[in-house]
Amino acid sequence: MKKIMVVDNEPDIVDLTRTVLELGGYSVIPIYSGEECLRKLEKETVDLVLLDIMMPGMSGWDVFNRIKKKNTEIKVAFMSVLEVSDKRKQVLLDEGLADYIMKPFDKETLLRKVDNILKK
Amino acid sequence: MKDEPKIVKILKGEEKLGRLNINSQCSYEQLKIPEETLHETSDKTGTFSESGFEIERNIGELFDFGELYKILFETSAVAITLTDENERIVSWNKYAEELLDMNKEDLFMKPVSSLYPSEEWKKIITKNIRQRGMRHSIETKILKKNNKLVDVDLSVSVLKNHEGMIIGSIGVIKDITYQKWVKDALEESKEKFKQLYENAPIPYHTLSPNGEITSVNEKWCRILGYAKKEVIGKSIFDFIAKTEKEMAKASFKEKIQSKKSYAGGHERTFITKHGEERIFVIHDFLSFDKDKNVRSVHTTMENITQRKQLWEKMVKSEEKYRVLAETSADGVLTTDVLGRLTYVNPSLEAILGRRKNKLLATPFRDYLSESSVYLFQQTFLDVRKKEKKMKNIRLDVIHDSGYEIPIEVNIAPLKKDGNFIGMECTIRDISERKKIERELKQSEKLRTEFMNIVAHELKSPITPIKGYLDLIESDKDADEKIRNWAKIGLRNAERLMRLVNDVLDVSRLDTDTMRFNMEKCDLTEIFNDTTEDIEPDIENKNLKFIKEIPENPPKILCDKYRLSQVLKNLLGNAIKFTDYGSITLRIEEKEKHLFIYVEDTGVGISSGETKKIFTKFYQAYTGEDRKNEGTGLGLFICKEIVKKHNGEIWAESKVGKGSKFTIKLPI
Repeated sequence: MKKIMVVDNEPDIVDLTRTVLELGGYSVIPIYSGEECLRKLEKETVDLVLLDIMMPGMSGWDVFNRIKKKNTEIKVAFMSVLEVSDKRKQVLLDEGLADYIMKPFDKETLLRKVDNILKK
Repeated sequence: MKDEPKIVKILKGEEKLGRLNINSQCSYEQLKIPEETLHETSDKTGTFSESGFEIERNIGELFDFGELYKILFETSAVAITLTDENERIVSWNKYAEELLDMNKEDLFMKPVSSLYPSEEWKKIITKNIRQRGMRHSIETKILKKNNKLVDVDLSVSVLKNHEGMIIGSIGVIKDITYQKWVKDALEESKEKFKQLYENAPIPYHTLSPNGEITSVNEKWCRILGYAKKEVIGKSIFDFIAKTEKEMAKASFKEKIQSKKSYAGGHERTFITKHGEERIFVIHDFLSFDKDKNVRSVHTTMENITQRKQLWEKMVKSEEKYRVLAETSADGVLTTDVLGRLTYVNPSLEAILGRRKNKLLATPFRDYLSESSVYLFQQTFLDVRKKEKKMKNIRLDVIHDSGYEIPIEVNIAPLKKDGNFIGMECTIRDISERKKIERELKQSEKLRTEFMNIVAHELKSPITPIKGYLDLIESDKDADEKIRNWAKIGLRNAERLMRLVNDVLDVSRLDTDTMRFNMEKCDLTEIFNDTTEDIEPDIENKNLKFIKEIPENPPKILCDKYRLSQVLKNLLGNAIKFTDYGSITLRIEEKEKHLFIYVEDTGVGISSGETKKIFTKFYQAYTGEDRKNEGTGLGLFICKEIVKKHNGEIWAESKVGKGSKFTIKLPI
């Protein structure tokens, strides 16, 4: 079973995402901050990190950069309410981002996107 | 030779006439008197041979000078005639023959009066009588053989014997034709000079060595408004401006002492009779007497009052410019052709943190940052080549303390007589502006960040609301009734989401924090993306979708996402308000613009509302039965986005027939 780490400071969103992903057959590690995410990754390997951007403390950007600096193999996707331009999105993809998922999401879309990422 | 006989003195005085010693034999030979004639003569008169000339006391002393006088007499350039007591010519020298063009036949024993025109002879006689036989001279005319008159100076001495009896006379005749001519010429030239002096268009004055005016010309009088008599005899310094008087006196004194024949070219201010200033450039020419003392000073004066006034005006205006440059808050500099500084103002000194004396003559590029040097050199060459001003060049200079200062430079060619001689730059320190720009950017960034936080905070709660309702709605195990409630909740959550997005867009537009990523975009791609999303809704309503899009529409500069947002909004509205018929998306390229039409066969908008619909929160009346689901922000956002694309948007409509929205975008 593929392991997905869901990082968001909003517990309700973490729970929702976890529920949806578990319905899709994934195992989820719920994480509530950027710092916690990095600490956990020291000990645990995951298949995908779904990362919120706007978090108090360490932002999603920072976490993404740290992860990519250490381990380029691990897959990271942003999950955010922030709209980014296609250009910016492309830059992020070039930097190794797996996908950019808009919130709010519906069950179908989220599962489709996650499936796609993990198939690659 | 104190006791020299009077006759000798007389003879010597008379142009060093050779001594006439008729007592001695040799004298006869020396005189051009034929011997036979002489004897004849002496026989007749006995004067010469027997008694001889016994003039005053001792005639014998004369012999000492015999030889000398003989030579003088013979070679003298004066004609000498000797007459007896009856005024007949008895002797003469060689020059006399030459002068009169006569020989002995013409002269010997002829009355001396025959040599002169009668009226001249009268004058000579009259004068002779008046002089009582004393030596005298007269300017007269003598007759040549051909009766031509020659101007001569005649000096007559009467010879007396020891008893005081008149025994004859000596006439010394000097040809003064040349002198006379010279004199006439001199007179003429004097006259001419006087005329010149008087009538010259330049003021002249002549001064004595102590500065007293001895003469002035008319021009002088006219310019200074005085009559001649008011001026002559006065000190020249009385006419010089107070401020220059002492200087003028000193300068004049120095001139007199220096004894240079010319001095001048300097300026002097004179005061007219009416108290007005007249400025001259004066040239003094000194004339000297034999002893090299200054006799007089002749001054020509060039009236430069007008020129000076113009010049002063110019200087004043230059002064104005100088003051402007010196006090300008902007740096001002000029360079020569090689770009070396020829002028810097205090502001520039401050900008560069260096004093003028360190800057002048050094190349301006020395003070530019490495990255600025090339641009500056290019600009300099451009300015030189095109002889055109270049504005707002962004460069960085390096302050003496090492830090860079951003500047904005305007460069203009500096020309003199049509030739490029350098350039002139005004330099503005834009550090402050840069700082403000940075602050502005910072505040923009803060505002954008704030908007992002707002967006995040508003959208974040919707995520779990919508997410869980979605889960319930799609849960096939859940109760049908609950799934239906969840469906209603979900629909409204989506509406809330749209509202939040619209409100955020409006806020971003209001705070100018909406980001536009303008790119050359392929419209086909945008249309396909847009219609893909829209088509299911059209199908749901059983409407016909007509797409009239050319195969290769022009690429336009736009933000793909935002333009697509506009189209989605327009098409969404069209679907919403159209229950029957069709929806058309049409593109047309004309007048260098791209026209995008979204047409429907829906309810339409009243003509009074076609403009109002683009205002914030405005919602057109579309019938009572229609559920009002809009935010009233959609078309406002569309209009603002189109505006950001330098385009226009408008609506045409007929109630009950349909609407046509047009977007006009520049290609």
